[in-house]
Amino acid sequence: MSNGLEELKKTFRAEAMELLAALESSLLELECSPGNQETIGSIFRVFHTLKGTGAMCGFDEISHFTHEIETLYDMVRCGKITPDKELIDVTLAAGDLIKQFLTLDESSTGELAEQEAGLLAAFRKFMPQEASAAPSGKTSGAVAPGAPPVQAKQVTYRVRFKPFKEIFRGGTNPVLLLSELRGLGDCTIAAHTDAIPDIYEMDAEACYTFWDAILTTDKGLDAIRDIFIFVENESELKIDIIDNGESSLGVLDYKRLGEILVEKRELRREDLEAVLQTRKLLGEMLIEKGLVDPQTVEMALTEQERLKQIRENRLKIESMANIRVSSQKLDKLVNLVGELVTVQARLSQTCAARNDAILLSISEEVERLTMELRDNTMDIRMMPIGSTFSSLKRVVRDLSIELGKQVELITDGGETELDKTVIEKLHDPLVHLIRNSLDHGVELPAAREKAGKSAGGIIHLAAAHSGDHVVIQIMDDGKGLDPRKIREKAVKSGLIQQDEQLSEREIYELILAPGFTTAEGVTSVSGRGVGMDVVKKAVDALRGSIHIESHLGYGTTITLVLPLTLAIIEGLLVRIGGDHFVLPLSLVEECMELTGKDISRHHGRHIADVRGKVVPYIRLREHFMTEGARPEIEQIVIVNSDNHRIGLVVDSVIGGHQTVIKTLGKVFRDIRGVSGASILGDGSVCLIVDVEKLIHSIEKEEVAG
Amino acid sequence: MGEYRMSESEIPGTLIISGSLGIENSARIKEALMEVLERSEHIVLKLEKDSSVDLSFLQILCAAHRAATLRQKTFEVLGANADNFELTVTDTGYARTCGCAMDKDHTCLWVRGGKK
Repeated sequence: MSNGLEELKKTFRAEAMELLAALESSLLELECSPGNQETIGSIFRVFHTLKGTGAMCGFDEISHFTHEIETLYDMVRCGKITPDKELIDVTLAAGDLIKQFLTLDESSTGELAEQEAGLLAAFRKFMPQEASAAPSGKTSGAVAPGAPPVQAKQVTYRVRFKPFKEIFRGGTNPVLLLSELRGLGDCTIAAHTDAIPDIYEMDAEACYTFWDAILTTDKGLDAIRDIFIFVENESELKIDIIDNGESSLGVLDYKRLGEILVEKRELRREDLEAVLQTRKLLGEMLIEKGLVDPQTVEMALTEQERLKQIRENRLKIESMANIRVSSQKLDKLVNLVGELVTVQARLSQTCAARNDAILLSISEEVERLTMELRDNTMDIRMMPIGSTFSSLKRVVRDLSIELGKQVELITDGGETELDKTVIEKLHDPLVHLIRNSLDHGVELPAAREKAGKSAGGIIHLAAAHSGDHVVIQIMDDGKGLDPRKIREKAVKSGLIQQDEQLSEREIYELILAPGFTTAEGVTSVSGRGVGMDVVKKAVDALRGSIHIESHLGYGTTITLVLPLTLAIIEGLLVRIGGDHFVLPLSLVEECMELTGKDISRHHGRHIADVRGKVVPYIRLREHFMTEGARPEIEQIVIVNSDNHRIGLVVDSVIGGHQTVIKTLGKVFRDIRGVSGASILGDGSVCLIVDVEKLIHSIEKEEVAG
Repeated sequence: MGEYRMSESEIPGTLIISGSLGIENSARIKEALMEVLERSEHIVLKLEKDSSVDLSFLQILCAAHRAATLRQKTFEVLGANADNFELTVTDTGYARTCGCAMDKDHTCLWVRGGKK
């Protein structure tokens, strides 16, 4: 396979996945408001695009499969079919099958034939009997009479106007109507003169001419109809949308000539197929055989050319507005920017040491540009979390059905932006949390009613920015966690001692331990004790934290606090001996001096008096086993960990430092209290302290000791 | 009602026509053309500058061309000089790049260049 086609397929796969995610959201929306024409339109367009682009990129199965679904949704659009839960179920299943087509190896797609046939049969059941018959009536085509007019988009219509013979005698000049039609937009009009008889047989005052027009306009269908309003009853007026003005990415090829003629009913499909057996140009052959007159062919070719041009132009504009870049390239860019930031820091440092005014000025300019470049690069990686939220709606819907519960997922803050990598890595933990809420949290309708709640439960998923973090909350109104039961299970499984004193919050956090479950039995959804520890691991890996709150009988709230990005950290640069460390600035509350006098006042105990309040501290020098004598005056950096103020003692505080995070190699992965490293301006390496983990591990040591 | 004028040139089969050539005179124009078609093998219709045409006139010309073709006669229109003839051909969508199925000799009155 050529690289070009392979690249095209790759792009199609990525786009199709996005379309399918949008489809899922639209279907779930449709379930709530079945009459929403906008939603129906979105669903139709997804299948339309998948069909067209799929065929172009060599995904024939998808193109074939979506063709029939597109037809069905066109009927839904026209009000001929009312969407119900059953149709939405089948359509969701169709979306899943398309995903399989996209992910499976091409040679394996045959295995899906049975599923495909089953779904198509299911779709056909929704088709009205007359659907197979050709559409009749003066007006037909893709436009539903009740459909909202498309105002802003440039839609291309094919208009056939066949006035009644007596139109001249009625005092109407049809050419004026054509002139009005031209006034609506970009319009090509061609007259059909076939019906004009020999002069000896003609009625000089009759109108024998009829017209086909290709009109591209943003004025909407009603505007076109209005032109013919006074002659419409006696004339034939047929308006079809031949281009809906939407993305034409990958669908440059408009219908082939034969398709247009068959669609316009100028030619029978059998005749077309018979003619296609020969090898001449189709237009030539049709004219030779007298099946279609030359002007009809000419008009069809004009239509084909016009649409191709419209789509090419649109594609040009679209491709200028957005480009698709692989995330690997973006990662590479971020790495390079990281290196640049490091080199720039070295440059600034060197220039400052030389104290050369000109060099300093250049260095400041480079610094400004580097920072701007870094911020812009980081911004490119930011994505709204809404797409992840949408996919969770499907999870809730399917699980609710499976578990016999009525659960609604309400989302807030879908527009909250997070680093692309964080979003990708967050998907699975969120699925776990939602599944847990559904399975263990929200009760069955009967149990809820018994507890005085509504039969249907609610899971509220919300995201919001909080400084340089994003807070994601999963709140359910279910039965809540039972601390007594959790404690019992934890003691039974040896996680805690019988007499161990734990706060309610610490008890809740036991559910994050590996293998912990309070479920009475294992279901297909959860209860095996895998999940919450996996969630914790994933959140830890994202440098985030999990907090659990619960009220027995009223529900549980799980809060995830995550950094906006994994690539950069806003830190406080400190020095211990000859080594440098970075502390996350978001945790730092204040800095104060620690003198020998202060130490002796507390008899060597690791506590400090901060405006009358006792704050324990940790000596990082001891923890990291730094050699050399400590200075006379040290610095305590007071951080907030889990709402507790704790001091970290360092030799000196250098200042704020925004740094690009470098992951540690495998050998250093398990170092306690370090989450990564960074390179300083002088080329030396500094470690990024994982404050929370460091504090927890020291607390554990002390409890054990 | 606008008036129209028609006269026969010294050249046999050549008609010179001017004035209002719209629907109000279409029946008479048709009759006159039928008469010329009866007696001439090669018919030329010359439109004077002050001619004003409409769709009905174009239909009559098309019908006359058809009648001539069926009878192995020729029918030619010289209208470039007329005020609104070309404009009407364009406005009515009559202008095209190839003739109808009957136009074996490529004498269609409405072909205005471009691809065949």
